[in-house]
Amino acid sequence: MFLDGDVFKVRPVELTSTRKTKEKDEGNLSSPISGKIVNVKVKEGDSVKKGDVLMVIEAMKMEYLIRAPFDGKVEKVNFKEKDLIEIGQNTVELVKKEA
Amino acid sequence: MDVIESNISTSSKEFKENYKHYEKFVDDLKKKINVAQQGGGEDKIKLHKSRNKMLARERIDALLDPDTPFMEFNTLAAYEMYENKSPCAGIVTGIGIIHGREVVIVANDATVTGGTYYPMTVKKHLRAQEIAMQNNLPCIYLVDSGGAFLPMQDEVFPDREHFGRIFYNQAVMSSMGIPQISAVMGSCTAGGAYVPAMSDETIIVKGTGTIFLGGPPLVKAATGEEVSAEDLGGADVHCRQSGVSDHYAHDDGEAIHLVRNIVENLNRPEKTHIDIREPEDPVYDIKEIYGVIPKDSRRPFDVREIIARVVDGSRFHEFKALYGDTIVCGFARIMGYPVGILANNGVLFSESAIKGTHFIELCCQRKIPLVFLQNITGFMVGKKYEAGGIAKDGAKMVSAVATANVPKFTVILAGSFGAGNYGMCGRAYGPRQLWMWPNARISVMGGEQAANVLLTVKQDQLWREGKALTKKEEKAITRPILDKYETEGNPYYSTARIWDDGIIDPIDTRMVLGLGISAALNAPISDWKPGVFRM
Repeated sequence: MFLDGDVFKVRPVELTSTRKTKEKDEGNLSSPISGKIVNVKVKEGDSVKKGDVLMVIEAMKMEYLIRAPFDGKVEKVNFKEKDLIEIGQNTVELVKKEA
Repeated sequence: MDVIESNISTSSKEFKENYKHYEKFVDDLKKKINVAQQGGGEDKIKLHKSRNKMLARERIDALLDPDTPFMEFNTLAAYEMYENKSPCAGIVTGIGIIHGREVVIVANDATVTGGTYYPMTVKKHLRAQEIAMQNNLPCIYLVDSGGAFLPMQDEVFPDREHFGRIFYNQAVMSSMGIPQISAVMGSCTAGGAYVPAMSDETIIVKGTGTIFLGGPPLVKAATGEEVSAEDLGGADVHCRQSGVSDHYAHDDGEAIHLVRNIVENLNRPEKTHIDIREPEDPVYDIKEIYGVIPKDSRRPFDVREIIARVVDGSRFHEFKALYGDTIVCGFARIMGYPVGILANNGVLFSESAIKGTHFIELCCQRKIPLVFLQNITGFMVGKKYEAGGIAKDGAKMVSAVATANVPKFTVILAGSFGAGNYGMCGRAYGPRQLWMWPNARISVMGGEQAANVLLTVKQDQLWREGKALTKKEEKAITRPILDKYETEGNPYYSTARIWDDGIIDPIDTRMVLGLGISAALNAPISDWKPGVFRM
């Protein structure tokens, strides 16, 4: 390219980004909130599919569903109905099914 | 900016069920709006037209630039109030565009009890003026009203926010350089006569327009003088003798033409400059919002799914995504305008309130309009949280919201409860506009919580006296409270009383926010001056 008597080399610029797409959140078995257990859907030894509802916690006018983050087997249920649960406490011990 | 990745499966059973359920909300809303827009009904409309008068909405259509939107406020004002005798509260208000610039229009609907002012009519008129004042928009009054609704004089005449405030606002706005323009296209009696008289420029229509402090019956009663309405306060009197009006129109169409000519010569200042880009549709269909909102209002949903369907290109630059994650904050564009979005994703904790405050500070510094997407059941309660200072952290957010210098807009997506309503820019915090979706709920707390609180108070009282309540007595206490909260938490109860600017179909969210921001740029954005934050 010529401009004001000078010669310039032109090459396309590629914008590169090192931004990673968000890692998929596998889901969580801990309670998102302090509240009351209103429904326990599983018992020890049950096999569950990813996305199945394991427990329902009621707090602050809302119902929070604890869903299985992966296919697996319920090893232990830590709470029963009407129990109070603290934020961050584990609801269910779930063992991942070997593929 | 990065595009929000949606985790919603539009083919899932859940999505389809939600979608179907939500369509009912929207159909119901449209039906109600349609009825309200009919005004006083067929007979009244026929009578009105037989007098060679255009309907309020026809006048507005003719006044605005062709093919431009009219953002109407409070269509469902006075809904199910006054035995439903005042649909739309007998007055049509909104923001429209004349000669390329936004104006506020206030048009009486004489088919609704003669355009007389019920309490909600006054409130709606004043709200339109407030919008004009905040956004620095000229006011056009299309007057056709019998004045105050006399049987309710105690609720429309004497107080601060009653009829007199209309003229006070006209004087104050005129002094601020906000043009006040009237076209008298029907009666304009008693107090109402001050609307044209207090205007900067006024038009009157011959034959139908009349302006007087006392109409012919009152004159006869007071002095015995007999005179026709036209001779007492018609166009000829006011344009040739009294000087109360400046321009003479032969019919409604000519009056509208003259209003446009007046607006053409207002010499309005340039709008505030902000970084505007070409608008772009979201990547995801906005209508999918119907399927995102859970059928069961007790189920939470990821608000990013809503943001993804509202912002340009679904692009969102999220701020502090890993901290205080029950509030989602970030930058985006809506209809090309830059916005800072605060959206609830659960109960507010101290961390979420502090994050929200930090984000509001950013927007105030950068002069970026704020959009609040409310779905909030409240601030977290309990010993741990009180000891952690949630009250002072909530106060920081409330203070930042209250003092924010940028235009604020609020949309209530679902729940709006308690102090969460304050922190998320509820009506009391002066958002330029506040819209509700038809599934929304609003109250100081949930009905069940309120009933239980009152029940506990009663039980404690009786316990001290050594007595207890039977199950039946308990029900007798809680039932009326549950019913009351159920009724009053309804969005139609809210919108009837003008606690919001209207209920909208979610798919119109982008449009109303875009129009709102565009209108807001008629006013300058001042520098931010925060209050004392309790640390």
